Amino acid sequence: MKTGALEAARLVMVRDLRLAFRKPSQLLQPLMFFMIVATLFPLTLTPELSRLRDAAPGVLWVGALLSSLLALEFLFRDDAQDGTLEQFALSGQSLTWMLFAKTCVHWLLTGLPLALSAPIAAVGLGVPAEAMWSVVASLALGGFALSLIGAISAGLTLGARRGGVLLSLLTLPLAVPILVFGADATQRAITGGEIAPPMYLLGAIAVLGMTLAPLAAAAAVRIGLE
Amino acid sequence: MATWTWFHRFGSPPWVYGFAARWAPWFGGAAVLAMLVALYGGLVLAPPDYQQKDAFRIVYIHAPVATLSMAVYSTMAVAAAVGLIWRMKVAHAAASACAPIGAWFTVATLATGMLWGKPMWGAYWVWDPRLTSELVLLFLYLGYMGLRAGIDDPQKADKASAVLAVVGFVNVPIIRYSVNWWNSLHQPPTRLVGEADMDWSMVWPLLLMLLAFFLYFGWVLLIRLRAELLRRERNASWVREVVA
Amino acid sequence: MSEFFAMSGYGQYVWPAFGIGFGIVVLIYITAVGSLAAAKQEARRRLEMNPPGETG
Repeated sequence: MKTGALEAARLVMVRDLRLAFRKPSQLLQPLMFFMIVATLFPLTLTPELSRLRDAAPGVLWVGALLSSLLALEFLFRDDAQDGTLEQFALSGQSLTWMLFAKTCVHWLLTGLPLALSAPIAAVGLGVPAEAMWSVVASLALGGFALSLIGAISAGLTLGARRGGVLLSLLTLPLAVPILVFGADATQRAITGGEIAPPMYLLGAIAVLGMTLAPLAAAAAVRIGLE
Repeated sequence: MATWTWFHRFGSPPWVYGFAARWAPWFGGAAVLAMLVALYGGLVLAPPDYQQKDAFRIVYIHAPVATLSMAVYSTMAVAAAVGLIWRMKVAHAAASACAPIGAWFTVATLATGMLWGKPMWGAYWVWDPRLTSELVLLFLYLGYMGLRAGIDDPQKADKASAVLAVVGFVNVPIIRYSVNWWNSLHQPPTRLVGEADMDWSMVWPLLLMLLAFFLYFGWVLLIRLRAELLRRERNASWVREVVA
Repeated sequence: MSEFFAMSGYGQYVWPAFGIGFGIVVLIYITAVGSLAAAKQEARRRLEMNPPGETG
């Protein structure tokens, strides 16, 4: 029975999710990191909510990015070390689709929970209740785009020394548009403005990323496995 | 056919080395000459600007280095793509040679831009789209060089950095068009030819300076390319002949 | 002449801009020539260590 690309992707997704839930404590780590980062800013800047509100978009998005970068290291590392990634590449199935599946799992386990729990951090930063839905939506969408971009740099740094630092350095330039539009959306939500324009742009980046990023990541992984 | 022989020649490291050695001085001489003439035209001959007075003259160094910072990246990305698609060693060598050149041009862009921004906008730095994306360009160059340095296997390093160069190319149109897309402090592009915004006496030194800088890029690229080829082909017999 | 250096008051920006700009341009050339010289020297060193005609 020949499995199609989508079926292979689905299997990879199920496998990754199952493996991740075997160590639930590890799932919480990126989330905890995000909360800690969000706490550091009030501690070091100012306890005044009105002033924190101005910094809130930046704090939330930088925290989201850092947390995503932290989790990206594990996107391919374990599978690369035990040879699973090589098997994926040799399997004759579409590596692009399989990596897309892994990226989706990364978002489901990092970006999405972060977005959903962002209101907790946001409250501490003076974000008004009316803005919460928009905060969650923008972080969820932006987080997905971040995972896609991050997959490329994770693939590129597979064979590199001190890949962790390099991964962050490589992801940063490509993540700038996501941060700019995402923070803009959050800012508009806080001040009660129209969030549609930056959200559309975020969506466009996510769609473009969905089509191109897994391809680039697959190319990068193949190079790294040679 | 003729095109293919030409293409094949460029795939041969010793041929490219000879080509680079022969042509580099011509590029260099032309570049220096053009720079001197353009400098005279821009600093002495051109009249002061109505609004910016003599501060506008910074354009004669800022615009060329800014243009080159993007042109070098484009060259790097194209060379990287050629190297990936046709598996040409020389193409990968060219891409590698471009990176430090482009990075320095980007630093020069930021530095000269800051010195122009202070008198014009009152601040050395503003987080507007064009400046920010130029800064991002610098990060891309550094990331490219960092990735190359971080991978030990030379062929893997070539290919991985090539993928990065191609992916990062999306930043170049963003820099170019950011002043059109967003309300920006940075001035929009100035029409130089046809319906020009500037007087011809101010335009020709700029055009000549741009040409000079492109020639200069060719010059230093041909020098660095030779160094790259020597390093990569160290065990080849042609290297022995060149160096002995 | 002093007018030329003053650049209508903007001299403190114009001259450093050209200085740094062309300074970097010269730096690009120097580092390029340096890398070529180093590559040639490296190749010569290798040649001395393993002269042609010998195995290994």
